[in-house]
Amino acid sequence: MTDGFFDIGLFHYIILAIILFIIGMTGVIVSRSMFRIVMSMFVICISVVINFLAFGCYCSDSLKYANIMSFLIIVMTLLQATGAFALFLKVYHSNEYLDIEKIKDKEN
Amino acid sequence: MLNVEAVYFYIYAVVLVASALSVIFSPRMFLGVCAFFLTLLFSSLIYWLLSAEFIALFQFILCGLFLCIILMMILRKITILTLPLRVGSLAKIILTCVVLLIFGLISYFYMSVEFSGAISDFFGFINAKAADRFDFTNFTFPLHLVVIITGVMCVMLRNIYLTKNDGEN
Repeated sequence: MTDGFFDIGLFHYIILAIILFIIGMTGVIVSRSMFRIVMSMFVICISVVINFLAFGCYCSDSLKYANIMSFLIIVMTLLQATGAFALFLKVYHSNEYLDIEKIKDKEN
Repeated sequence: MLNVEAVYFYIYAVVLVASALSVIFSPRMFLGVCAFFLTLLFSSLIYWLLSAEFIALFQFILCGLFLCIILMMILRKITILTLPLRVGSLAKIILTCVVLLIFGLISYFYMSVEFSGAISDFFGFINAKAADRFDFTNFTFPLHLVVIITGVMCVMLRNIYLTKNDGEN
């Protein structure tokens, strides 16, 4: 029992990634602040990167692929986050709030 | 004999999950950004455990340091650092978690059925597609359906669960 608990393997990392993915998706769905939604998307990306690196670490000859894929994911997420923050500033200057529902109501 | 790597893994994992939860449910925006920084820091440490030192350093320096500082500066500029948090009710959040758990299990079975749980098979799939020798009959589980269902589910859950009147800036 304790051997399985203390022998860290692929399964442990997959469970961690699933938990992080669920937390991130919950944040995207229930949060109403634009900043919080972007941060939750970052958490989702972290879970994806952990998944890639875990498979890359525990499956032979695939660590370099996992590193490349993780690098691309992190860069893409960073670009998306910085672009989103710039857009949020613009939205805030024109609307004085960053609540998605309020902005949707205003558009309607 | 206590495995040191296991101890590190459990410490990092617990702090990572706690800080990820704090990102969503922190009562103030300022605390949310601090929790976000902790999430990035401890996820970098998890990458380090998986012997991906370059990715760990890359993420920590570029995202953990620079992005969090920029985020803090933006929030201070638009003066919403201390705004309180408002999310949906607890029942809705729990229901969302259950639905997402089911979705996670479906995704896990998809990976294990189609790619035998190995990332090398996944890259073989991409290579086969890039080389234009991809045979759809080998893949019984429709990938495009998974992508479409994910997008539709996100939109539906947002529209169903969010209440209209109480908002957070």
